[in-house]
Amino acid sequence: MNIVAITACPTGIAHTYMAAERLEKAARRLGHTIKVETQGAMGIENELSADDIARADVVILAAGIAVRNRDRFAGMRIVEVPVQDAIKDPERIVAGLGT
Amino acid sequence: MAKELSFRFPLPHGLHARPASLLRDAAGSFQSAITLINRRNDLKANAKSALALVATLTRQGDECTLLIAGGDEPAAAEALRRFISVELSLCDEAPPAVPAAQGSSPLPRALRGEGVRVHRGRSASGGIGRAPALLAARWNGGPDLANREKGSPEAEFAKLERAFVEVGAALRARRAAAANNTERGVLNAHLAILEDVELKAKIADEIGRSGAGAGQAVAAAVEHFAAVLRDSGSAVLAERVLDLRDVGELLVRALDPGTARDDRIALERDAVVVAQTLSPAHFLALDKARLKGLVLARGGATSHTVILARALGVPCVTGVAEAVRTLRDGQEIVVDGERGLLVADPSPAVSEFYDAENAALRTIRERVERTAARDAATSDGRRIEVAANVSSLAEVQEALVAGAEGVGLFRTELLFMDRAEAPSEDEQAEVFAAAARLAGARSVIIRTLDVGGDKPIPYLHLPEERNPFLGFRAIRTYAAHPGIVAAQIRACLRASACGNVKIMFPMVSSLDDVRMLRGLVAAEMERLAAAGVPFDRDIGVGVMVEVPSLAFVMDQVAREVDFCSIGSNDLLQYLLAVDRDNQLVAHLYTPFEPAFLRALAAVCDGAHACGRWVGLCGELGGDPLAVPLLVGLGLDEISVGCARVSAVKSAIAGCAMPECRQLLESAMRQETAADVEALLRAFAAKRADRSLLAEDLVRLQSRSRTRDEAIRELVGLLRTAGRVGDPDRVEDAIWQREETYSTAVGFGVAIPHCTSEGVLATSIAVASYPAGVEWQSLDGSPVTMAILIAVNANDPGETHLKTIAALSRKLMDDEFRASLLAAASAAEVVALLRSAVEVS
Repeated sequence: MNIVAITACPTGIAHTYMAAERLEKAARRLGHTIKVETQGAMGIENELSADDIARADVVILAAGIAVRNRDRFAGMRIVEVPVQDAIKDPERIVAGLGT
Repeated sequence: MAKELSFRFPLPHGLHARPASLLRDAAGSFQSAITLINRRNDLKANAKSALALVATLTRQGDECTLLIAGGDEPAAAEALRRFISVELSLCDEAPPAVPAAQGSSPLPRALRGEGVRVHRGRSASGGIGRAPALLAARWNGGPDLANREKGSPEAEFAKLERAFVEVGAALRARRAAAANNTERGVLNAHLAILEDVELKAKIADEIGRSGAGAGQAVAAAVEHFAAVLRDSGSAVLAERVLDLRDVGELLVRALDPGTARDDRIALERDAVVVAQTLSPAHFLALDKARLKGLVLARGGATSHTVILARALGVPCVTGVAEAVRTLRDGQEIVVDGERGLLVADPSPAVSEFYDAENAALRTIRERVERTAARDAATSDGRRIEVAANVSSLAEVQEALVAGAEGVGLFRTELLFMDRAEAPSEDEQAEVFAAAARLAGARSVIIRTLDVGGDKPIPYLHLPEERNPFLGFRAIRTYAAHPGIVAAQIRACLRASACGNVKIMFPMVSSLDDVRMLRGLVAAEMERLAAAGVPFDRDIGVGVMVEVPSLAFVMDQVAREVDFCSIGSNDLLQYLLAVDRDNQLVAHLYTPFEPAFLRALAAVCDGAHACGRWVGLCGELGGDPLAVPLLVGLGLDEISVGCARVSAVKSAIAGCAMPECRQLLESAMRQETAADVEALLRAFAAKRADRSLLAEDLVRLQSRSRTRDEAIRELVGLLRTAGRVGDPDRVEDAIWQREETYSTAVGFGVAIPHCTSEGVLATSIAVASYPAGVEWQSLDGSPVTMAILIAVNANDPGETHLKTIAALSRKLMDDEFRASLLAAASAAEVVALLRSAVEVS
């Protein structure tokens, strides 16, 4: 499965990056491909391209705040989770996406 | 035929104490009667009295006239016309800002508990003191005057004269013995009041006109001027009322030594003195060993009592009228001069908080003192002396305490100002010798008189010039005053027998100048030798490099001097032809102009090629951004204001020679000042990045039991390391983040973090808790390690944020966390964190 995700948190200092790291590792462990865009204190990094989004089967939004450029995902399957859940148990989130 | 000068009063802050005393000085040297008339309110004043001048309540824009009548009218009119057009407009300075009531800033968390009785005021002097309250609110009033015996007016006049002489002598003696500059300044202000002609005239008038006794006359005159100051509408002037009363009280006590009640406050045990107001003299009389703090219902940041409290390190809170009314004698209180708070009857929790605060303040002070005690050197061991620029003997003492490794610039102009004739050779020799003895083996560089038409020294008769900075000033005037110059040189030579004294000449522009000045020194050496007066024949004789011409002939000049010191302020203004006081061109005044850097390099290289020592005295030396450049120049000494000494020392300690040399070379190749500044900022950011982590920011085996304590401890680590300026604010920002959802991310790790203006330098602090701390973690497990990330809101630094992001990712790695939790020392923790960031 092709997954795209966005992580973001209130200060954009720590949780954004911790969640990204956890989601990336969990998805790969479960045999999926994933690209995670971080929206943190340094702005948008590892930005999702139109291609990335077109290829994706599902979108994970792990954010404690409003996500920027959300309209890119119109019509797609979106799974929203608290950013802390992405840190706590990313495998459950990924496994819950189905196949 | 009297002369009249009309003008519109130019100063935004009106005719306050400083311009009034300068106008008095300008008027005082003439015999003519000089009167200031304010046409707006028709108030008149003797211009030889600062008190009377202030009492005209003159504001900006008022139409004023100076009436001059007497034998020396023409000279007086000319001098005053010049004073009004030149000096008066330059002498305004904004009265010191009075800090706003700190009612808006939140209380520290520890004081928000129920039942904590906190009074908010203003912080007037830092530190924290705790002791039973001593209510001094009832002391005021002064001696009882009503039923005094009184003699004939003649007898009362005679008594008054004796009292003036006695009080003057007493104040002068106390000034000579003053512990510091601040105390000296206050005593000077009291002497100026005592010597004010209108005060004395008013007292005499009371005796002569209403038949008052001398004591009553003093009291009446004091009240008259006190009312004027109080009603002036200026907070700064109103605060001078206490000084006026002090002088009045001294006079009254001198008039009747037997009967005057001594109402000074005796401290029999440790106490916090609580008063409506407290005069400077009463404050000075308190036993400082027992005085733990001061609480004043009134008293602004500019009152002399508050200024003295600050100088003597007595915690002080003002503006707490309500607390002063409700506190009881003997009630235990904490004076929190850091935050402007009073806490009555502190609970055990509050006591614990303040014990920790005191420990933190002590650690911070010790760190500052440790830095002060160390000689400055770069990280790779190149010594660079950090000396101080001073203007008086008292400042020499302060500078040495602040860690200055000598005096890089002793300005001597102050010795010549505010007096009718030049100071004698003996007087100067005494000051210089005392400075040399204080400094011991460290050098004291005395700069000879550096005045021009812009500084008011009447007895030098310097002409008014179109452009005094390019005119008849400094050594260019020496031929016109051979006696004064010779006396000053002899005074320096005589002091050289007492320590490591050097002579430095200002405004030298050619080799001719150098030879002329060396000739003067040689001649005075011969005179002293012939008279058998001891001095050091090898005394260093140097020049200030401030005229750009010297930069082009350093090979010739350096051969004939023993040292040079770059006067960076003037060198810059002459090199760029920019008067920085002129708002239209002030933006062009920047030391980062590549041409200026090349001039500095030419001076340093030229002097070093002849084996001569080069220093720099000027504001550039105190700019932390510029310090790496100055190190790169190879300067042997940097001399700065007392307050900058310790900061410059630590900036030097963070530099290594090779990278600073490279930085300088690259800066000199830049094309614009903006490019240079960007380069310096990038360099500073890179250096700061390395220091995101440090061993003193790690506490293993912490005993913190709760999340509250743990966060306070982590912030405390950053605070004592000088990385957090406002711990309360930082704690609040961290808690605000914690309250959104806990930062305990599981696996026994918490990552509390914040972005706050209270953070001075973006930093990471780490603590481990063997017993575990409940942190409401996501997986319910207690926290065994917390990593605090504190980001500076004003200047987070891109590289810092990247590092922190990389670290956050790395913390998700099980092995990495395990090795971090197993680390046995602070050094190991720092090494692990650093390697993690570098690998990723």
